[in-house]
Amino acid sequence: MAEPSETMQGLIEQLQAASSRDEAFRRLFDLYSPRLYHFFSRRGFSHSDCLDLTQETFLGIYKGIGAFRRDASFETWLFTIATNAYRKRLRSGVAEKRGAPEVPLEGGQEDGGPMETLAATDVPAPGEELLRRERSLVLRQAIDRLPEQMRKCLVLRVDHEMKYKEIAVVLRLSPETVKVHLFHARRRLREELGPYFESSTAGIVEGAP
Amino acid sequence: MNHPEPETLAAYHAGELPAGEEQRLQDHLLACRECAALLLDLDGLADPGFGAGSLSTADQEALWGRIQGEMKKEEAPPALAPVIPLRRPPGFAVKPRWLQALAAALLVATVSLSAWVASLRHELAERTQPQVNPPMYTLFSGTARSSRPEVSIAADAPIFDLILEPSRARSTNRYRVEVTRAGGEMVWSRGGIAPDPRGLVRLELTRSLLGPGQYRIRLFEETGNQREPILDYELRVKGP
Repeated sequence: MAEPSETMQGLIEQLQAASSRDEAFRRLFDLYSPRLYHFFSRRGFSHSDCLDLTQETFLGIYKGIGAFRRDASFETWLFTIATNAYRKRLRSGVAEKRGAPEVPLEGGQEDGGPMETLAATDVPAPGEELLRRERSLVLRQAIDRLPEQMRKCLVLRVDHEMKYKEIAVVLRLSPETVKVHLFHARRRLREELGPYFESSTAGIVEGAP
Repeated sequence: MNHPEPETLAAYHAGELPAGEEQRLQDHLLACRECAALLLDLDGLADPGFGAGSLSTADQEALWGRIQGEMKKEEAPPALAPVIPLRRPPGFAVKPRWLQALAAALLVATVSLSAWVASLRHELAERTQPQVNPPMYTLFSGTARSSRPEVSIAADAPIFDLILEPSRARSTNRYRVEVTRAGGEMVWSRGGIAPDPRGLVRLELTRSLLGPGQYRIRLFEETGNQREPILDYELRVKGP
C-alpha cells in the first residue's frame, strides 16, 4: 500500500460524507486514474477504450462509495469494479480491436523464453527440427516429475515468462522461496538430463529476480 | 475456460480461500495467462508506480472533465414530464348559443322519441304475448237467469272468453253471433260457430274490441243459408 492507510481512510471518510466530497474524489482520481488506465492498457484495449473504462470505473466508485466498508481494501474493491467493467466491455463486443499483447509482462533476455525455445539452437539446421522437438518433450517430462511447488515455479518462469517477484505473487510465496525452488529445479534437471541441456536451462532458471 | 470472478481472485490474493479452492485456482493460474496477469495487476493497483506516466496530463484533465459532467448528470434531479397546457386546436371556435340550444332540444326530442317507441314496443309485446288461462264469463239467457248480465273485464286481461248458454238443446250444430252497441252499431259478428260437446257456444274476444259500455249479443241458429234468432243477451262491460 503506497499511501498511508490513515490517508486512504480519511479520503474514504470524506467521500462518504457530504462535505468536501468533490475535493476528495478529485484526489482519488489523481491517485488512481493512471493506475486504472494502465490496468486497462495491459488488457490490450485501445487508448480510447482505456479512457472510457477508466471513466466507467470512477463513476462506479462515485455511485457505490456510500456502501463501501472502510475496513475493506480499497484496491480490491477498485480491482473488482475495473475487472467487471472490462469483462462487460468484452462481452458487449464494443471494444476496439485489442492491439497490445495479452500479457505484456516486462522482461528481457535474462528472463528466458517460452518452453519451445528452451532446447532450440538459434536457427535449426535441416534435420535438427525433430531433435529440437524431442528435447522439448524430454524437458517437459522432466519438469512434470518435479515436486509440485518447484514445478509450478518453473512453469510460471518458463511458460509465463514471469520474474521471481511475479511468481511469488501468483503462488503466494516469498520471492526468496521462489528463488530457492528455481535453483533446486535447475539442479535436478541438470542431474537428470545431463549437460546436454545445461546451456538452455541455465538461462531460464537464473533469470533476473 | 471459466475464469474466476474478480472477488475470488481478490480472496485468493488475500489468502482467504479454503485450501482445496486455493489449489484449484492455482492450477487455473498456471494454465491461464490472463488470470495470472490479472492477479499481478491486483497487486500492482496498490503501487503508486503502477502505470506512472502512462496517462498524459492533458488526457487526465480531459477525463476528469468527462467524469465531472457525468457526476452532475447523476446528481441532477430527474426531469419532470413537461406540462402541456390545455389548448384548443387551431381553427376551433366556440359555437353560438342558439346552436347549442338547438342541439339540446334535439337531444331531448331524441330521448323522448326513444322512450315512446320503447313504450309502444312494450304494449305490442303484451298484446301479442299468448295469455295463459284467459278469464271466462258465462252469459245465460236473459229470461232464464238475469235480465242484464254484467261483466267487468279485468284491465290486465286483453283476451277473455264469453260462454253463451242456449236456453234449450238445439238440433243444429252451427250458430251465428252478432255483437252490437246500444245504438245498433255492429261491433263484431261471426257465423258457422260449432257448439262444444255440452251445447255451449264459446267466444274468444279481446278487450280492444269490447270497450266499456252497453252491448247486445244476439245468437242465431244457422241452417243452410237460413238463420233464426234464438236468444238475446244484454252485456255491460265495465271500465278498465
